[in-house]
Amino acid sequence: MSARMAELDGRVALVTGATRGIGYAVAHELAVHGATVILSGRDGSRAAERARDLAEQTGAQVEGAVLDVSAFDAVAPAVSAAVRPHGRLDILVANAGVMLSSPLGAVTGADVRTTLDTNIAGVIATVQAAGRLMMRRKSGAMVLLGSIAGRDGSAGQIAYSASKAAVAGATRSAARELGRWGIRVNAVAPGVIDTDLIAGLPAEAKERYSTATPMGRLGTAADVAKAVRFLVGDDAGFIAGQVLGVDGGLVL
Amino acid sequence: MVLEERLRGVFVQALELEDGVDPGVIRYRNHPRWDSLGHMTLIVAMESEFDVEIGPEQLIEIDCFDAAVKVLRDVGAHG
Ligand SMILES: NC(=O)c1ccc[n+]([C@@H]2O[C@H](COP(=O)([O-])OP(=O)(O)OC[C@H]3O[C@@H](n4cnc5c(N)ncnc54)[C@H](OP(=O)(O)O)[C@@H]3O)[C@@H](O)[C@H]2O)c1
Repeated sequence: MSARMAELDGRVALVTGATRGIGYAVAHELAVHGATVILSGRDGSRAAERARDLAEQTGAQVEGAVLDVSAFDAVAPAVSAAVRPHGRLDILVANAGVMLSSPLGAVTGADVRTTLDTNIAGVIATVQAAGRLMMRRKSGAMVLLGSIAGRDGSAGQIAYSASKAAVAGATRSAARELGRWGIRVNAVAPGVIDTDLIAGLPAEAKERYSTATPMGRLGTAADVAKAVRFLVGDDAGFIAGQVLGVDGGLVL
Repeated sequence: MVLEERLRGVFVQALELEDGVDPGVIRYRNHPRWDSLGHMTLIVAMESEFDVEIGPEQLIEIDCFDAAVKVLRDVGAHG
C-alpha cells in the first residue's frame, strides 16, 4: 500500500445509507484509503452483511451498524453506540437519502414528510450527533449529500429538490458553527448518477441526461466517492462550507 | 462534593472565568462568556471530564451550576 493509499490511516468514518449506491462506494473508497469504516443502514443485518463484504474486499476494518436517520431522536444514541467501541469519530458522510417523484397535483403529505424526515431532518440529526463527538477532539470532517436538484430544481421532485437545497443551507450553517472546533463541513452535489435511485427513470430520460452532460455520460457512484474522499482528507484542510458539483458539467 | 469541585474547575476553564467569578452564581446568557458558543464548550468539557454523554434535552436544562450538577448526576457521573 503506497503512502497515498493510507492517507486516512487511523481515522474512523461513519457513512449513513451505505448499504448500496453512493454510500457503499464512499465506504469502499474510505476503506481503501486506510479509514476504519462504520457502514450504517436502516436494516442492521444488511449493513452487517455489506460490511463483511467490504472488509473482505479491502482488508480494512469495516463494521456494520443500524442507523435509520429518519428517526430524529434515535439518531444520536445510535451514532454514539456505533462510535463508542472506536473511541473517536473523524469523518461523517451523511449520505442516506430518498427520492420520491410525483408531479405537482399528486404530491402527498406522506411523501413530503418522508422526504424531509430522511433527507434534511436526518442530515441535521446526524451532523448534530457526529459534531458532538468530534468536538471532543477538536477535529473532524463531514460531507453531506446534496444534489444538482437542490440548485436547479427538478420537475416532478419538488420535495426532493427542496430537501437538497436545504442540505446546502445546512452545510453552510454547520460549517460556520463547527469551524471553531476544527470541524470542516462540506457537501457534494451529484448530477445524475447511475444507482438504484434513478433506476425508475426511462431509458430515454437517462439518454437525455447523458447527452446534456458535457462529459457525455452519467456519473458513477465511484465518481462521487472520490470527491467525498478528497473533501474529508487533509488536502481539503482549508475548504469549508462548500457545495462541490460532481455532475460532469451538467449544471453548465 | 468531589463532583462539585471538579465541576467548578470545568466551569472556570471552559468559560475562561476570571479570578473571583463564582461559577455557582452565574447563569446561562447572563455572563458574557456563557453565551451559546460558551455553552457548547462547557458541555463538551463536562462530557470529557466526567466521561458521560449529555443529550439535547439535558443540554438545555443546564442554565446554572446547580442544574449542571443535577444533569451530571442524572447521567451517572461520579465524583
Ligand atoms: N443517484 C443520483 O443520481 C443522485 C444524485 C444526486 C444526489 N444523490 C444523493 O446521493 C445519496 C445516495 O443516493 P444513491 O443514488 O446512492 O441512492 P440509493 O442507491 O437509492 O441508496 C440510498 C441509500 O440510502 C439508504 N437510506 C434510505 N433511507 C434511509 C434512512 N431513513 N436511514 C438510513 N439509510 C437510508 C438506503 O438504504 P436501504 O438499502 O435500507 O434502502 C440506501 O443505502 C442520496 O442522498 C441522494 O439523494 C443521488
